[in-house]
Amino acid sequence: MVEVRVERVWKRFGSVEALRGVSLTVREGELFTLLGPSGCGKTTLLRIVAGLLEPDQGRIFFDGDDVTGVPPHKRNVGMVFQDLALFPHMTVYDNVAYGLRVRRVPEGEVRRRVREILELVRLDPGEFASRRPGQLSGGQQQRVALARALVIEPRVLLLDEPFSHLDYKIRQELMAEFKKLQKRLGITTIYVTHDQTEAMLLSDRIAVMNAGRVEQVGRPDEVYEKPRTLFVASFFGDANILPARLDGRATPLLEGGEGDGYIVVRYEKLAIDPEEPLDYVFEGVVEDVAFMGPVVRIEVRVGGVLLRSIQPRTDGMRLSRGSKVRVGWRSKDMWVLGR
Amino acid sequence: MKRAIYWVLLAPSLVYLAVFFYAPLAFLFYQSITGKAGGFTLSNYVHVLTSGPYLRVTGYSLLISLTTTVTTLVLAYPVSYYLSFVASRREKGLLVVALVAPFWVDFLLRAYALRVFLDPVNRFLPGPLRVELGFRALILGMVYDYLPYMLLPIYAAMEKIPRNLVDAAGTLGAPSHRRLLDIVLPLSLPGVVAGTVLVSLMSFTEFVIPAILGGTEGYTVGYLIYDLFLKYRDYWRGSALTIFVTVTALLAAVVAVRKVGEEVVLG
Repeated sequence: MVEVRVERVWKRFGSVEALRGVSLTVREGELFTLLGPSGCGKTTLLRIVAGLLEPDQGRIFFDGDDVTGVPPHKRNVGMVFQDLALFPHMTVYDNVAYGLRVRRVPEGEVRRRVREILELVRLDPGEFASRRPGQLSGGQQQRVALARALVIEPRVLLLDEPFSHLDYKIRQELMAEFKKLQKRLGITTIYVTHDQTEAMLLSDRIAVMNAGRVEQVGRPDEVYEKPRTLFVASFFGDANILPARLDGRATPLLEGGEGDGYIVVRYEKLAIDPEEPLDYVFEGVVEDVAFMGPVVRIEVRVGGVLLRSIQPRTDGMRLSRGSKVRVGWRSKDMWVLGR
Repeated sequence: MKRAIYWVLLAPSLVYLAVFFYAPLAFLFYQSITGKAGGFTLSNYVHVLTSGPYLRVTGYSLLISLTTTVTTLVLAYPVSYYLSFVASRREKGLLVVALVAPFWVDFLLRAYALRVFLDPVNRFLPGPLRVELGFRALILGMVYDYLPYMLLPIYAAMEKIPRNLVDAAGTLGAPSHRRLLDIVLPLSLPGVVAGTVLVSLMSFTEFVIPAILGGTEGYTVGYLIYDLFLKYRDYWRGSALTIFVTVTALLAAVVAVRKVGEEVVLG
């Protein structure tokens, strides 16, 4: 198993700084997610780890080995591309066998390993081996891409939004399967996504990236509960972000005005018509009630700002647009961030 | 109703094609199976397919076509690869313009320019390297004329290859020559076939460039057809030879396209 270390990596494309001094360590056997909006540099970083791009500055280590200048075909990484990049002119079998054949593995062993890996990703070799990628469903193509990346027993597995083109249902299924498979193989994995739900579901740890920098690294629950920056708070999980004055007791500025910081309250921590006394309570008017399955999302206008609350369905059902309500939260359920 | 409008829009081109392409072709075919004195006969074809001089000229034209096709292919493939996979955006633009520019000059002009240019060049070349009017000069002119027809289809096919496929082969352990062989080559094959069909068909019946640059070695099947019609006024054999050459060429093209179509199932 391999530890991946990224050290102060910079990358510029023309006038765009894609990566601005990124450092992080992916531990042995860990499923590590790079999470961020498009253009944050996460795919660039993944391609640098794969060797498909060279960093302008900085180094990449697999365990102790400096692999920075090593070309991709000598790095022994398994990569699953966003569009899967299956070879359209080869059968499923030949796609999966490709990495073994370029390594000059004897054909008998190739046959055995291809069959094993196809079974591992739950594709019946008898049924699928001789098909072309174009004759498979999206989910099946996904499995082939994963098999092709895993069959070479790579030191590191890299995935670039591999499930993004699949339907919701199949995506859920494949992600759950993939998570178990990754744990079973114990392969160090870097997973790129812009989808926070995916990141929460899969990851051992997450790096939230923004504008070429890593904003925070941690377990999903850590990042969710203790976001270190405003960006992380707003990108990872849903939160009300209120401009605030921070001298003495932090006060939200609900009628506008320049504050020197922010108060952040998760949707689910914002109480509607609280029964017990809370630290912060305001009067507001319900603007919208949206049904979301087991919960409802309630929008309440307080002064000049719109606050959102997520409540179990039974509580929210009594409200409708125009209702006057009180909203509030406890001090311990909010974070205060300086400007 | 909508269909009717489409037909109205299509009609002029269809009529044009029917009158000026299919009708003459049909007439040519009719003439090829007619004797000088009228009446049905296959003797025109028998003559075309058995007489030594006819076969020699046809064979020689095939040789010219083959040489031209292979040479343009060998020249165009690496250039296309460089253009598509290596060159920067700016380089691409400049190179494409440079390579296609000959298209903008009349081809007669190009052939004469080359012919005039051979003299001063030959003065500086040692004996064996000189290009006198004849087969070599003719091939030189043909290659120079047909290169874009080979280059553009191959380049277009390469541009359509998703770059991720090449990257994927790389991460799977393929060094650059394997990526070229296993990914780029098979996926650019449709362009190679298109270019090969174009160049081989056009160069097979070409007769202007051979006439200008071929010297005594410039007599091709196109020239023979020209002579049959305009010099010997033997419209019957001329028609038979034309039909034979056209049909053979088209069949070869169809076979080539089919074959590659089967090998490269895309998507």
